[in-house]
Formats: sequence, C-alpha cells, structure tokens
Amino acid sequence: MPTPDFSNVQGGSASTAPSETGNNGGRTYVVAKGDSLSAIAKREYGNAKEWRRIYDANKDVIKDPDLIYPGQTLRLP
Amino acid sequence: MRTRLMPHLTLFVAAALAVAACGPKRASGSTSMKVTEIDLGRSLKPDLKIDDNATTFHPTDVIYASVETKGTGPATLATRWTYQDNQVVNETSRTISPNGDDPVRTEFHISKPDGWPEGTYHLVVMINGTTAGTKDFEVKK
Repeated sequence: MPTPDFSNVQGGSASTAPSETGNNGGRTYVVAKGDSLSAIAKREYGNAKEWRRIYDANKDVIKDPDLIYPGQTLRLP
Repeated sequence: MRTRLMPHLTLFVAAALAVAACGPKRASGSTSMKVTEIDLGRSLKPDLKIDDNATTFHPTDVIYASVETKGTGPATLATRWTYQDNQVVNETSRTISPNGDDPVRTEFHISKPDGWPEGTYHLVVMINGTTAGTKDFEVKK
C-alpha cells in the first residue's frame, strides 16, 4: 500500500486569547464549504465587491481567487 | 583591607540572591499554562468550542481540535497530527498571551482538498514543546 501524500494538507488556528503571532491584531476567517471570496466580503463588509481586499491580504495562501478551500484561514484586513 | 571589602561583598551576594529569587517567579508564570480539555469535531461555535464532538470523520471533513487552557502566558501551543505509523500530517503552532484566569479556547484545524485517507490518526497538543494532551480519531468512508 503506497504511503499517503499529506503535502497538500492545510492547517490553521485561532484563539480567544491575544496572540503574539499571526495576523498583527487583525481578524481571521476560516473558510467553510461553499464559501467564495465575494461571499465572505459580503458577510464581513456588507459588499461583495470588497473581495479583492481579502485577496490582496492573502496572496501568500490564495493562488487563484476563484479557488479557496474549506479550512483555510484568511486574514481579514 | 579584608574587613573593608566584606560589606561590599555581603551587599553583592545579597543583590545576586535577590535577582536569582526573581527569576523562578517569572519562569513559573510563563509555564503555568495547562491544557484542561481537548475536543474534536467538524465545526466550531463562535466561542471556538466544538459544535458536534466526534472521533470518527469522513474523508472530506475539516477536522477541528478545540483546546481549552488555563493559566497565564505567553506560551506556545502547538499541535502535531499524525497518521497510522507516525506519518506527520500537519504541525501548527500559535503563541498566545492569556492575561487573566479565565479559560482560553484555541482551535486548530486541518483539511485536505483531495480527502483524508482512511485509517487512524493521532493528535498531540504541546505547550512550549512539552506534550500536554493527546487525542485519537479515525477517518472512515
């Protein structure tokens, strides 16, 4: 039986305590099933067109703005 | 000469002892955090507690671990997720600085876009590199 490949596993974390690392005090959002950047922007900022703000703040983890995955942790600027 | 030095020497030793006495207090404050609960599930409530406790998951699930800690920080909370024979799945750490006596919840989650292989998994939660709790779970179709 071949060894499973876990190289594409995505992980993240959040805490109710102040953090010394991570998002420089900003908020984070954990992507759920069915989410899109525009849906998150609509929910968080009241305007779906604000999706680019989220994309720009997360270019290190989002390669394609049309492709985000459940479990990804995004910074909300 | 010796009698002149003695007061200075006594003062120096007293100061050194005072500094040494301050050290352990600070150290014990930074390591006083302990894990009081680890829960696993598929979703979280807004307070970062698990919404639906589970130890068996489906291949497409996002797997959440909600860790309750008590004590003051800063401390580095880390998770190490492994599969079957200790194959590392993911390692994530987060340094938190609780500033009160209330319990703190920290969530860690993992997902795999192409699905989890079936089998048994093991989660280790560490505080400052020392194991503070473990949990086992299973993935089934």
